[in-house]
Amino acid sequence: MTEPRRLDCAEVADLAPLFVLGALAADEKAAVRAHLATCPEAHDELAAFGGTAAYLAELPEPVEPPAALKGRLMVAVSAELAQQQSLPAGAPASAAPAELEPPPARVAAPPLPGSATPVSIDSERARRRPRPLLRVAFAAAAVLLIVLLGASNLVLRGQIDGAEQQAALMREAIAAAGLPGARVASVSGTDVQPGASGFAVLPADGPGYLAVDGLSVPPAGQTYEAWTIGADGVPVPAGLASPSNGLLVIKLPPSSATEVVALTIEPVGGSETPTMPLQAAGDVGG
Amino acid sequence: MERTAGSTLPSDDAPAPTDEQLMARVADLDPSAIEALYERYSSMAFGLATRITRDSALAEDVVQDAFIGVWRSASRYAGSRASARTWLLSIVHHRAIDAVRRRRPTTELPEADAASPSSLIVDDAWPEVAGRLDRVAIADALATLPSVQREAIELAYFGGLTQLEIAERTAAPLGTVKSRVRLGLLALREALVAADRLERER
Repeated sequence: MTEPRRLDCAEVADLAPLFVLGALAADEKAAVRAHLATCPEAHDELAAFGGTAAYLAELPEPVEPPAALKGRLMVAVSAELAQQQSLPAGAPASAAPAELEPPPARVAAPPLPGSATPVSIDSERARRRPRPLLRVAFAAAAVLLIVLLGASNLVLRGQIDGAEQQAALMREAIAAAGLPGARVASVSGTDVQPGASGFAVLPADGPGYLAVDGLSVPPAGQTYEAWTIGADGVPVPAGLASPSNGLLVIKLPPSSATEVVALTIEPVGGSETPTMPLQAAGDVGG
Repeated sequence: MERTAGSTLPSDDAPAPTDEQLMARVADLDPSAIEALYERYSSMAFGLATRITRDSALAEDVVQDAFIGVWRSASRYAGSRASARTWLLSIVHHRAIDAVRRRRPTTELPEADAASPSSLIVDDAWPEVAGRLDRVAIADALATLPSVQREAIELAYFGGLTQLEIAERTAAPLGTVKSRVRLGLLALREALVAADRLERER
């Protein structure tokens, strides 16, 4: 990036109408900003033109966005907040230069605490003191964030699909993830289910949960079955369910010994031993 | 867990907080405040983003990105003289323009600030020159402009075109585009102030 050309006050005033409408090319815009950053003049013409241009934002007919957008936003905000709270107070600004901020994603992936390039936080932001607002245990922040991200979207999916029961189960799963001592892990689809992903929650006691989205519809006469596998390596049947619009939530029997949670396709009624291949699996051990 | 994403906070009987109060709470990292602002402005934001991007999926990204920008930059809003509404919608506008420019094949270099808009755009919102006017009054005011001026303003603000692109599109010299935009905004300001005066006298 070359240094923007220096503009004088008259040139800035000349560009003001285009600037406030967003009609300057990147280098011109940067030059105007560079001037404004240091210029002692008030540049009232910018306020006058800008205050006029502001009305244009009122012109488009309001359009209700899809309901899911709010869920995505709040998940992203939660992720930002969690990262905020995981920063020590007074921590230096993000080491990642702002220019590295990725383009907006459909769903902002939560940054992993401790990773080298957290989502850019501007210096102003970093100076702010985090405040304990979410009463969620963010201790296992990395995993839990992924869980919350997935879960919130899945809750939303459940609501939208009208699968109230599924949404209720999902809420239980989220609540369980916040319990002290809960183990949470992401669950990935295998080669036969490349689009599947989800998470497993195993609280210290009480039932666990397996939630997987993006699953294919099982063949006629078959259904999904969850399995918990302990240190002995023996899969134990852990519940049957069919996905609704690709989303499936299974309540797992309480078991502190579980190290792996897996999903297979079985005949309706279930099997005593899993039929290969695995459809999805997640490692909750360790 | 009551503030888990996706949940709706129960409303209480207290008077609804102003936009500016909500903005202060956002600056204090209160997620329920950004949720409340979203409830108020998501339709306007999505309408604006859709008009500019002409792509509802992209508009969704823009709106989400803009509200995240609000979340990140709210502490700096305190220094702005613009209303929270104007400030917020100007962020949506910037993000939408950035999005269409990124998408459009162009010989121009990538926008230096497209990748980090939150750092600067908050300074680009100014207080309205007239009072609060409804959509019809604003549309009427815009309609009083000579069509070439209105076209230049619309191509810039809603089309995301640069001055050079407007010149190409309208087959007009750059200097003409500049003066059309300037005169158009001045005329729009006159019309808005007149409409506001009329509104107050009513």
